[in-house]
Amino acid sequence: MLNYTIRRLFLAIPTLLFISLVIFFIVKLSPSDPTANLPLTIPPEVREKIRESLGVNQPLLVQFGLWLKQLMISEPLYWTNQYFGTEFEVGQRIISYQTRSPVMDIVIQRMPQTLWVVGTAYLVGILIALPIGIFSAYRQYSIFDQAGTFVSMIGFSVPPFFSGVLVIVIFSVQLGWLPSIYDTTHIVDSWDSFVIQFKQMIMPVMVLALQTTAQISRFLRASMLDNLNQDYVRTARAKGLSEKIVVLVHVLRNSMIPVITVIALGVPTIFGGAIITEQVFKVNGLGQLLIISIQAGDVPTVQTLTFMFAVLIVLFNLVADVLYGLLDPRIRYD
Amino acid sequence: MTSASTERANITTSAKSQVANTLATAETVLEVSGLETVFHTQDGDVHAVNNVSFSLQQGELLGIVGESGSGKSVTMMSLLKLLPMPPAEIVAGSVKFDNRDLLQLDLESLRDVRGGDIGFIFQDPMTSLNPVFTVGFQIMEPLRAHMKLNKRQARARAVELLELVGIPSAEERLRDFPHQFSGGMRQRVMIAIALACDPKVLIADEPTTALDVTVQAQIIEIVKDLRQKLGMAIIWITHDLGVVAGIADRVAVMYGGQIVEYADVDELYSDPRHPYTRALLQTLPRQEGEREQRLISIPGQAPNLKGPLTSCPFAPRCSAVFDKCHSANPPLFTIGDRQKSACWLEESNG
Repeated sequence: MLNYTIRRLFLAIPTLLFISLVIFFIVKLSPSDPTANLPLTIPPEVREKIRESLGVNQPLLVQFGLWLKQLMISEPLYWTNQYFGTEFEVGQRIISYQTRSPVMDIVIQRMPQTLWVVGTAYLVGILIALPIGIFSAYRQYSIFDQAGTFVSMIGFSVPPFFSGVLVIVIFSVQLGWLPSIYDTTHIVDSWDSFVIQFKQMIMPVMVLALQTTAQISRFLRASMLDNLNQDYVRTARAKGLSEKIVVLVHVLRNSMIPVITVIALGVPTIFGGAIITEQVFKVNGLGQLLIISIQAGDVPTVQTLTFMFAVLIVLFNLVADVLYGLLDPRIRYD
Repeated sequence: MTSASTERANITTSAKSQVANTLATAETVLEVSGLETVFHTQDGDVHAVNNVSFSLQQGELLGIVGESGSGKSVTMMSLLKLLPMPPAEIVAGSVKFDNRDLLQLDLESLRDVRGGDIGFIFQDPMTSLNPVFTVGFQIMEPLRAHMKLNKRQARARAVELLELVGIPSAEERLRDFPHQFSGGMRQRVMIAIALACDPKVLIADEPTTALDVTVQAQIIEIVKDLRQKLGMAIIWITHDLGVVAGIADRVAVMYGGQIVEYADVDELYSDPRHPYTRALLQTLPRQEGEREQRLISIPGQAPNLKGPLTSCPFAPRCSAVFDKCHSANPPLFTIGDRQKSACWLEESNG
């Protein structure tokens, strides 16, 4: 298993290089100008100077190489200096066109909001999905199952820009129970401030969790149904085991194998942020950062963010495969 | 094939009469009467088990034979309510075991019987074990549930059981997963699980059908051996008449969800009374004499069991059919003291 993991990690390097190259050229294909958002009073010669200083006039491959060097050498050296107090010579870091500050600093500022809101939503979604999936399969076609199917259908088909606005209209505008905007500057230091934090998280978390729940509970239900008819379930019952053990130990353990894969593959989307939901609730997380960077033609930020997502996706694909091997004794990678 | 069949035929008559003698005095452990199971499906009710009655003496081996869909497995699953309900429903009958009617027990008490007093072995050992748990875990489960053994005691007993069914280096193999065992070895594990809590009755549902012939013979040997050692009663479901001839004391032939002939094994083979039994025995390929051009088969199809039986289910395929067969379903007529047949031809005898 360890050999397999190491081999896969090495194989990931060319994959990621290729992905970053593709991302770079796709972003560059769009005719955007980093100075377009600057005030109109700036004369063309000055704009040209700014472009010069940002390096956008250089050949594409040189620009790509430069970005790669900054990502692979300058950034790691900078963070090593920060954490271990070493004094390596740090070259130019990746600079955002928009804010002129290092991209990584912005990412680190925005990471906590995204992890809190989207991460909590993912966890809540899974925790709701598991019992729903198990019970709807065990009592297939019962009223509970039908209701679960209906809710999943809504979760799958109603986009968050609708459900998000809908809950804002209901709970913020009509009832006035919850704040419509997520305040990222809010600091939790007492019970009261915790309650406020909790209240402002409810809506974005539930809107996002609805989607996760819909997906995971459907997967688990299908997987449970597959397993409930297996011969080993009859054997377990013939041994005189209680239904609780038959379902929650024998069937669930087998049913979780494909579901764990789906869950693991969904983790990168947490870091990716929920682009639309973050926008609706004004959570200034990574998803929102990506959107405004695209709008501003901020190539280094878009490039760096998408590359981070690519790394996470490749990594969690590996995690899913390793988990698969751990859960199913029939699968061995060596 | 040859080695297995000769082996089966090699049972000595003296051993058999010994068993018969003990049977005469032994007490009844399981008594099934008037069992009826119906499957409620979208296309209507399927009457899978129709008024089935039989009894099982201590230490007896009862063979249940019949073709696919004759209701053998459903009957045995009904005894312990192992069928998915719904669609299945046990509409009538009683199963007397230990002075209790298993069909009236609440689920909690029934679970104590399942795997405790009555062990079950299933047809396909490849799918009957849970693939993600070790064999040791699966053997120890009933021990811990029924006999309330702690982990160490259960482990020791599991090793004992694996040795009993002839699995070498049992101690290490407890840690293996089912996919690391061959088909025959897995069936041995299934037998070990069924025997874990010293059951009074063992129900084996076509335990050798999915195995190849040499492994079949081994499994049959193991069961014969264990029966002698442990003295439990066995119900052995099969469609292999050769297997039944070799191991059974009594045989019930099932057709259309009911028992059509019920006899001591010797009577059944020497003097089959029901036309279906006769036809079945005729289909067996002979080892001596001229070889048949084609294998003999019974023409026609197994009956459709939608709706209750109003005529003899075998009538459309029967060579001795007459008017009465189409107007009423024959009950089991008693012939002599050791044989019963559900055929109108026996009406005068019964």
